[in-house]
Amino acid sequence: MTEPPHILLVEDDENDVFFLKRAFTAAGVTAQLDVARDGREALDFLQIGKTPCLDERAPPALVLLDLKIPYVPGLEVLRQIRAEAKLCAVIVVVLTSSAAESDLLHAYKLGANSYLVKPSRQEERIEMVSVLAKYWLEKNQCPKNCPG
Amino acid sequence: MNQRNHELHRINSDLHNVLNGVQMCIVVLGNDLCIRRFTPLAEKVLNLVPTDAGRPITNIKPNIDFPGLEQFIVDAIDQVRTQQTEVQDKDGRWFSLRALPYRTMDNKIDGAVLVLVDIDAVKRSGERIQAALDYAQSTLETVREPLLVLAADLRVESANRSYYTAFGTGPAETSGRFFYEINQGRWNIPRLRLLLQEILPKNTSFDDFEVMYESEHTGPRMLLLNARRVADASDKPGRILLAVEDITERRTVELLRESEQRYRTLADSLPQLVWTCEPDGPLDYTNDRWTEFTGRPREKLLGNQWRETMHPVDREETYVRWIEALKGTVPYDLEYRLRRHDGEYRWFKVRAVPLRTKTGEITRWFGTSTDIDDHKQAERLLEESEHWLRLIMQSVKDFALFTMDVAGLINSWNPGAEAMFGFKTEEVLGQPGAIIFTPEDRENGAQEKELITAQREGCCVDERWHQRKDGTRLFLSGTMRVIRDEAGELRGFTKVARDITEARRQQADLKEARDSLELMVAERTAQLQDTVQQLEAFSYSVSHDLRAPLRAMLGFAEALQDDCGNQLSKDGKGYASRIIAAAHRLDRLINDILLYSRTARSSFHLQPVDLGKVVTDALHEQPAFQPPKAEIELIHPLPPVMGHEPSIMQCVVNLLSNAVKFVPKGRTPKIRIFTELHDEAVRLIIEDNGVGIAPEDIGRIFRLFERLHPASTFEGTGIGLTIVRKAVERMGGEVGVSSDPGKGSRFWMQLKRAS
Repeated sequence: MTEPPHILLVEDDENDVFFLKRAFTAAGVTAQLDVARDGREALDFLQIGKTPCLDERAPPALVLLDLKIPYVPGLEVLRQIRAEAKLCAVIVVVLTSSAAESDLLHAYKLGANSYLVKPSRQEERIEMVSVLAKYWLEKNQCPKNCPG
Repeated sequence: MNQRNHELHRINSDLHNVLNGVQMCIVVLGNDLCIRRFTPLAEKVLNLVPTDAGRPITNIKPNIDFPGLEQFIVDAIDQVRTQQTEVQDKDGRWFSLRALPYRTMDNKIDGAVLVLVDIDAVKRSGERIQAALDYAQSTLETVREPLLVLAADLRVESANRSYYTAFGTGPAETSGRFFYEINQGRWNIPRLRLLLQEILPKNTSFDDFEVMYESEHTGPRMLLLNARRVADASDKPGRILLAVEDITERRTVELLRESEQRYRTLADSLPQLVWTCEPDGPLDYTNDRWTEFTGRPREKLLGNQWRETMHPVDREETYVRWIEALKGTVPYDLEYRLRRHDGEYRWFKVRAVPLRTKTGEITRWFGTSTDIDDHKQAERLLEESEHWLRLIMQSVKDFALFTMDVAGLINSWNPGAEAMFGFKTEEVLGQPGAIIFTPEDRENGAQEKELITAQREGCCVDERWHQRKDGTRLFLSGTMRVIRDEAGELRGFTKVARDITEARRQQADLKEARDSLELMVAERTAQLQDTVQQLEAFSYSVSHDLRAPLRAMLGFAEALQDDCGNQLSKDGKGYASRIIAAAHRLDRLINDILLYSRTARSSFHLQPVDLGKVVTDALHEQPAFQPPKAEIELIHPLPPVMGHEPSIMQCVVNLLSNAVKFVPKGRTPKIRIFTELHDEAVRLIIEDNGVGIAPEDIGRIFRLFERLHPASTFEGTGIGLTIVRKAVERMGGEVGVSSDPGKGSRFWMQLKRAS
């Protein structure tokens, strides 16, 4: 049996974490969901700038990245992820409440794979999670190894 | 005795026979004048019968008309002398009448013998000869021309009175003298003499031999001589008749006529109206030009008729001048108007000179009238334009206006210049234009440079400081131009200058004001940008921070329903639903506000947008726009417009949302989408069959947060149309609506058509 995919959720709002986890459950998506509560935690989790890696953890398949997070803003986290060669195959989906054009532009410029505005309703949230899992975790193809 | 008787008888018989034989009228009378005998012819002439013998002759009535017959006979007897006379009988026949004393043999006087001889024929021929002579003589005398009759040797035989008068001579000085000697030998002309000498031998003649004869009394005379032979039966060689014709006068007249003709031709060829008039004024000659000009034949101009063509206004003045001219004190030289054939009056310059006799009397006036109307008009125009120019120069007070000659010396100076520079006209005339320059510029030769530039380029414009008479300075904007005549020859310069000292100061003030304004604007802009940034930060914060609790509220209410539904009462479930609905509405509200704020602030470039595609895309945006929820008819064409595609999309979606939303319950929304062209704009119209809008509400619907219906009837945030209006306005367009309450509305948005 294959291991469930590894997802890093970068989100400081406990409520949103709670709703998203419920949506994953409701959508029936099995995943190993880690949560980073701020930018620093996220960077630590991804071991950015740390070579060789301290532990043997493989990088997550998908990062759900909020933009407005403490310490290191989401876009900066994104920039650093994209600057790290070993994380080249990591899918970064921005999940934020801002639909601001400037944020959108920035995010894509820095290499976001997708940009989603946080749904308000659970129904929409469940739909979003199942579409995300279906597309990015099942259909989408990524290189198995990135140059270190 | 017998012998004697016989002798006597024979004598008597002889006498009787003689008396009867002679064809003569003889009457023998006694001393008592009684008739003794008479011849037969006497019976007829003297009307005698045989019985008249013995009767006194005084008792008979003879056929001859001679009252003095008795005395005639008595005189013959008494004086013993033959009396002779010529008488005519009653038929007019001439007779020679003689009375002879009757002498007896013893020489006594015993009566008289009357003899009548018919001399009629002789008498008649003599009369004829005399008449011919008289005729010839009187012809010679009556001929006006001087005549000379010359003999073959050219001696003067006779001359007529006319000759004597004409050449101041008489018969004594001429008769019998050689022709070439008379009159002090003035006829002694070799050629003439030769011609005369040839006439008789060669039977020639000559005509019109011209002689210039110097007369003592009348000066030089032009003479023509004609000579002929006069045939004479008795006089073999004949005589010469020499006629002298004085053609001096005729030649003068001819010359005069010729000269007059020449002058008339000359007068007719002149462009002027030429005329002559009598001393007191009436015209007696006008040339052809008069007729051409006035359209009147000459006879309608002569005398005083021409005055009818004179302008009525000029008549009195002309008359006065004429009277003055007649006095001889002033020349007749004036101007007046004459009417042309087409009715137009034209000005003429009129001059006339009198022709005077030696004693100074005027015999005639000779005049010319020259059409000077064009000249006068040009003069008037020139005067007018000069007057205008003067007026303009005088009236221009705000500008200094002056002119300079080719040397740059001022030759006119207007009041504006006086006021501007403080120099009076008389102070600057003849001064160099540099008088108004500052000493520095004078030093630099600024004036000379200006003149050179103006000559080279036709015009020299500059702004510089000048100096007034009192030394104060003023800043002028000046233009110098060259003045050239028609031939392109430089005639001088004109300069126009305007005092812009004040304007310059104002300009400086303005610049200062502008600079400070710019500074202010920059400050304000910075402030505004700051505000905008704050606003953006606020929006950002709204979208994040405000929505996070909202999401929590919504999420937990849903979780409450989902997870704890069983534990909730019916009311509890209801409350949870209300929380969800309220939160949901708040979410939409926040979304719309953010959208509006983005629409209002974000910058976008207008570019051609395919309206058809945008509308089609918009129709696919929401399930509410699809059948069976709505029937939407899209009518082409939908021409491209200038705009921002996402904004247009937003507007169309908003308008369609309203169209499908505001329909009475149970009615299927029916929507027509079409366009109209308004000049360069495309109007997109969305027509629905909804509830419509009351006229009093139409003004409110595009305002922010305006809602016409309670949320329970139609959901909404009241921002949708406001976003439409803002977006369309930012794209340079317009929005509008017309409505029929209860039946539907027509919303439209209009954008500039894309080419």
